[in-house]
Amino acid sequence: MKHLLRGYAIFSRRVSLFFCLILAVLIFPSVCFSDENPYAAELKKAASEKKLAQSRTWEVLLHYKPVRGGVESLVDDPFFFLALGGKRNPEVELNATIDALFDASTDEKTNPRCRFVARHEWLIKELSIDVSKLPAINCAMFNEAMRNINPKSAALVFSAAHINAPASMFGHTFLRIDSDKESKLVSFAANYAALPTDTNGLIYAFKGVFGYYQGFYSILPYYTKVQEYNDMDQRDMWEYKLDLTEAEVRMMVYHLWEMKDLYTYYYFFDENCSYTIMFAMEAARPELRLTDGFGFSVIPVDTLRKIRDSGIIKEVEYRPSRSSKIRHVASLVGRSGSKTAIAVAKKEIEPESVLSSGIPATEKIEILDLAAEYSQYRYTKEKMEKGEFQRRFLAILKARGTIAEKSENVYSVPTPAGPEAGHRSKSFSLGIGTDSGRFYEEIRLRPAYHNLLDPKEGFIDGSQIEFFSLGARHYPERNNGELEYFDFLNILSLTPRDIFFKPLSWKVRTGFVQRIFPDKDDHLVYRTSAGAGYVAGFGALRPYVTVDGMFDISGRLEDSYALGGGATLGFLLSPAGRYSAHLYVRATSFAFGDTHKTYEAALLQSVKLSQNNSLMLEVKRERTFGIYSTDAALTWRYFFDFI
Amino acid sequence: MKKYLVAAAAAAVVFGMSASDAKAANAAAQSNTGCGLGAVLIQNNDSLLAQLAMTLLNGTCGNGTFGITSGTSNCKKADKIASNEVNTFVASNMDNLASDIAMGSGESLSTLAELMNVPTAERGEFFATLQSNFSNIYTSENVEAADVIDNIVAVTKG
Repeated sequence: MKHLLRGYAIFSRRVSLFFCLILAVLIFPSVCFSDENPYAAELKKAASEKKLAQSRTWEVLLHYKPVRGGVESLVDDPFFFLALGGKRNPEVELNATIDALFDASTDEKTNPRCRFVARHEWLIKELSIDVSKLPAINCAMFNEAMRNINPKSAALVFSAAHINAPASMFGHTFLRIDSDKESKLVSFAANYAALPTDTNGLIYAFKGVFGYYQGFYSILPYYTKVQEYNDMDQRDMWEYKLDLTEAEVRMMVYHLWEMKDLYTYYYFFDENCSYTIMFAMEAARPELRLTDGFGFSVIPVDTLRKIRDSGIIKEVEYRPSRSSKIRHVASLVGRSGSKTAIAVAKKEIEPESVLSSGIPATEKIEILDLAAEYSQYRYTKEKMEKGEFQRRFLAILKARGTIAEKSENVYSVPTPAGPEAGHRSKSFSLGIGTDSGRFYEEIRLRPAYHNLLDPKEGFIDGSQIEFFSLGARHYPERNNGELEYFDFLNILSLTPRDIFFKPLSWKVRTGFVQRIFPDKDDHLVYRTSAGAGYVAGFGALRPYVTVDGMFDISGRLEDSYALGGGATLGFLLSPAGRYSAHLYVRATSFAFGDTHKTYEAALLQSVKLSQNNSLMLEVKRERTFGIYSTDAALTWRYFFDFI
Repeated sequence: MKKYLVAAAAAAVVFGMSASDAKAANAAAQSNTGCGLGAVLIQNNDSLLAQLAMTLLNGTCGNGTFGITSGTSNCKKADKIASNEVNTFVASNMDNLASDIAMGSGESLSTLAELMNVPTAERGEFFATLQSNFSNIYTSENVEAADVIDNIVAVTKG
């Protein structure tokens, strides 16, 4: 109901404005503006002389972006604009905003001065408006919100992927608004995200990519975000303190308030969380040009680099996830200590038996802390009932409380390389090779994001996400060029299992690829393959095995398809430093459609030359339809982005 | 026979991953509410489809709320501290605060000290007192946030 009322109030204002404009242009301009407040007319004239509608701040606050024939706001909610046509006309919108200064309505939910505080604050300053000539208004809700937030400074927060949740590797960014409190947990987080309305995974993915969901800003206590990312999703967080003044941060919060309850269509690739949150930073300091220059995709870590390059990052803080803490403390107590901690968490032994054992006090602390963290982890993964968790958790902590030593004096989690230390998101590769004796030159393009063997700093080891990856070859001997592959999606996650975490590793790939046919030549097929399995970890070496399914479609196949299953056995070697290698053998038996078998073996190696350059040597041997082929290539890869 | 085994493996892997698992894909967090220990967000997102959905839809989940007003917790308030901030913070951070108190340090504990206006110079002693009184603060597994606050006041008063 409130929503309707607000809508009606804004609508009626807009309708009257609309008729005004029509009349103004067509018949009697004087009739229309005759009852206009003379001060408003004066202000509009001044605004027009100062060209405020074309100013950078106005562009930022209204989210205007250049389009053919002018500008257009990225915000889609009609209630965001005070003027009809305000989405494409900054001038009309500015004049409507000046008119709105004289709105004497008392419902602060619809009064534009309580709703669009940043715009009005800025206008009052730019035009040196005498506030005493404006109607007195009371924005009680807004004032209370400002009292509670008490904005003084701000930080950009990047929630990275965690080794145990490799699918989250794109990361996510949001803002933290700090008060003058020392404790950041009670700061507020400002987040932009889509509100999905479907539960079916495929519809959800489609709508997320093509802008069918509305995105909204939200503001929540920061501890709820920390619990969500660190404790529940097991994602490490990075906090980048921003070099913004108190007045700038206030403007940021004012602008977030303006965006409250208003939607912008969400597009997974470009108008996404990380992109849209940067408007709040531009509102703080309009000279920053953060939302310009991105191509068709915006990856959170790219926005992070762009923000870093703008020079407003002061200092970085690392906030490890629960599983990062578990892994670290486990590395201190070793395998037997870890086993004891797990036994305590699972109620196989009592925490008092740790206290009474003869080990040093620091080791007791580590084991009990590890048991407490691990029982929390198990509870959030629904491995324990609530009552069982409460009893166990409390028993462990009671025992821990009897050792009068602070855990922070015993251990702290070391800070790993930050996400911004990684290679850039797009890559371009040039290579030469031979395909069963025929020489070729190859180029590869990949708009996003990371290959298993790309330089690993800042990424999760053993993970790969590639979108729209393309390879094309030229065979000089036959003087023909051909598409070697075009993957819409190629994801691989090789996460080792250990005594604490038992992840399932998986892979999925779909796209066009060349494969051998009985005519002994390569032809393009559309292939979808997927697999799941287990990975073990022995230091830098990760042996793995997956069960695979494969589905090929091509008019050249009998019945136009081949569907089969098989298995992959592989070894990933990823020591610290520049070198990585991946060796695998794969057998697939196509049992349906065009029945046949295929066997592959491959050794892929890469050496990092610099943060954004690497060299790869790939050798593959394959037997399909009884025909052998061997491919070897040497490739130079360069990582870049346009921003 | 072999053909069917292969087919079963293929079907299980290829289609098992793309079949829509509404619960996993939606990745809706189930809120395990309450005012005691274990009142935390629970979300089991280890399934393959949930992982894939997370990749494809990174950051698309959220809520559009502005949770700015203080004192939104539904839990009963402590008798000895009226501050909404303290009551809400303890109720929303029960597990991590219990952990920090037992471990004698941590961010949740420092935050509580600041919200309770414990002077910086006295915090070392405050933390040590809470740690050694853990059993007096968390008297049973059914302890609620309000009891925890009252017990903290009781053990630090004397």
